[in-house]
Amino acid sequence: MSRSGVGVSDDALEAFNDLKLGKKYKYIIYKISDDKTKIIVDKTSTDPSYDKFLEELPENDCKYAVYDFEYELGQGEGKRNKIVFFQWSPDTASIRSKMVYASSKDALRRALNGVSSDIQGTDFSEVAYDSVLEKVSRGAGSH
Amino acid sequence: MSLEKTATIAANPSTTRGLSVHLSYDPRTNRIAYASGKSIFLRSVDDPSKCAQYTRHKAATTVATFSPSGYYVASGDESGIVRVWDCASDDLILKGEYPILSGRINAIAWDADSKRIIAVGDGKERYGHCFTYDSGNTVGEISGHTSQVNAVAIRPCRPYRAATVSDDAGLVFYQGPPFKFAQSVRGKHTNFVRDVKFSPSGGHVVSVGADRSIVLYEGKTGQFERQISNAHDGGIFAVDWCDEKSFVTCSADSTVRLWSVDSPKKPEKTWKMGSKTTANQLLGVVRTKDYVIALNLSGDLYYFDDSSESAVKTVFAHQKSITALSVLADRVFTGSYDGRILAWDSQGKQGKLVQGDDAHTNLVVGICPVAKDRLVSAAWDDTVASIDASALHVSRLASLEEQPIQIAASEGFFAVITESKVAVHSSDGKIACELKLAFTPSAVAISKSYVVVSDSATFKSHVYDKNLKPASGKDLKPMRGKPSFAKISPDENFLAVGDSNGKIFCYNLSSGELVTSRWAFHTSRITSISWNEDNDHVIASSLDTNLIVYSVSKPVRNVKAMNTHKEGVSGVEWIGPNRAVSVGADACLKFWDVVFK
Repeated sequence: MSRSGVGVSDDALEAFNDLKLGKKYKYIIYKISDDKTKIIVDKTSTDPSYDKFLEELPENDCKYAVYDFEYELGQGEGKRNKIVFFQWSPDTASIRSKMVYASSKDALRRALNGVSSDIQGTDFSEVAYDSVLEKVSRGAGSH
Repeated sequence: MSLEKTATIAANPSTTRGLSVHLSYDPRTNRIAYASGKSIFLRSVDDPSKCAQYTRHKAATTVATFSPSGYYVASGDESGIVRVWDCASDDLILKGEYPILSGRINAIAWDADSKRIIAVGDGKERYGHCFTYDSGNTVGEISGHTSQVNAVAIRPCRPYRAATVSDDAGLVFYQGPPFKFAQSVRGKHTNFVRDVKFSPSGGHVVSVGADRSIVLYEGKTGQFERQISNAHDGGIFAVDWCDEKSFVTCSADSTVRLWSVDSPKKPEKTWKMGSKTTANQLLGVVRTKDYVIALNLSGDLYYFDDSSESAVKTVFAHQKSITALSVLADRVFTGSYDGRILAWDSQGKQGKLVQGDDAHTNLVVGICPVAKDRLVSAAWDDTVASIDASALHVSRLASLEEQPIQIAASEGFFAVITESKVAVHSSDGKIACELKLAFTPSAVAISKSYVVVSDSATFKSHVYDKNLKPASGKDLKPMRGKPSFAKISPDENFLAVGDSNGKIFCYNLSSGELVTSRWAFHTSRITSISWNEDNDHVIASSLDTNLIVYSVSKPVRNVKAMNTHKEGVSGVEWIGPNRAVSVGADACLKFWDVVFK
């Protein structure tokens, strides 16, 4: 496994624990710092709208994101929450940025425990609510 | 937001020269069933704009027959598969799928119990098969023919009998069930026998053939009764009984004739088509409650009744996949693969044929409005034609040196792209200016002040002014795939370009910047994009059979309609702020209501 040598900042892990245990955030967006040494928190939000989250994903740049995905099971079985990890690498981003984000993903992903699904998005149809819902509700222990 | 289908306008039956078409009629619902493309249509006789479409066949369909009970339809296709499905509910649920032959299914007949089916056609090891409708168990065999079997009929009352006719000029009579060979009648017809039918009470059998003769047999024994030679001036394609004593036949001589069993010397009545041309050869006929309906080679359904010698009503529609769509005021214009252009009122109740000596003879590439009452169309016969929207007349406007790729029009002028150049014509067809291109264009869009041409190799769209001078400061970001369609918003603010992978880029046309690349939900080539008059919503169609409405102001929101046209949607246009019409490879028009929230 090739590694880029990019590390994870403590803030990034703290934010994740706040989301997972404290339910303080709905989603966290991560980015690689400008000097390409650390993965840092770009933004946190409590906005429950999934559309709002999609608007935060830039059209020409890569990001990582963790989203606390909530969905109905139907037939009165109630709601479930799943933590979903996104690797956002749009087709239109620069090749250099796509490479750095791909090779640094593992560093962040392995540091986060309790993520149920991984979504790799290269265009907006792959991160649309329906696509994510399908993937999340298909996974083990989803209901 | 939601996208709801409000109406489907059916395609007309597929035809092949020299092959008869078996139309089936259900008196309970007053509908006819027929095959078209890869679909089966059940269409109301009184209101042809009402129909049900069955799309589950994988090969081109050939025939569909209602069960006498009216609850099921058995349909066959080119690959030899018969599907039996429920036609009483809207869901058209499959009852059973049976691989019967290794070749084309030519005809299907039900017995009076609606329990047994005989399907005949062309195969390698057999020419037909008898089976139960629900389980496919064998209930007899079709034997005694040496060539493909063209038609089959089962006696509608007990004792059951069946008759098949074939290209070997013979008729075979079966007893059953289980149906077994009883006798064959040869030497009466001298050429292909095309159709056979039992009279409603089973007293007679009639067969017709390419030798222009009609032969009558006794219904229970199959004994030859009498023959009418030279009944038509052309080969006879189909026959249907009106009552126990009379029947109608249709022929390549463009006439439908009514015959009486008791005085068969000459026809009781003859209905004529406008002219005796190849396109007017009549390939199918069916007796309905109020009319005799005949089908000609170009796929039009002609309604005849006692009041007149000529057709009282004609139903026009497309037979081949629709390739071009345009909306002018409240009317819809469609062009198809065979060059035919039709005009519809915006409710789609009735299609009218656009005629003229210079009508297109090949695939219509595009139709666009250029003036209040006029449209232009380009086709693969390398011509551009002008369509008078009120007179429904086509006339030649210009001849092209190369095959047109796309045509786009704005008020008073239009642009055509060909393999090597783009030309802007004024509405009278004269070339206002043209530009030789260093690349092969794949899409063109035009508005009052801009012409946009997309490059099929670098995936970049180039913006020109109306005189084809490059517009300054508009360097658009290239797409990720070959651009397949481009459209400028009515206020000229935005340009939407769709590519062959299903992605749509929306550009700001004044600054040249990308507004959004979030419109990425199609999975195959974008075939058409239409801007709503609010300059915000677009509806896009694609080869993936889906329609999607996107919005500029809310690019993350979209609404989809899946599986709208079998084999792909080829065009979509807004008819008003909340209505859209789409066309596709299944030769249908579909109307949609869009609700914005």
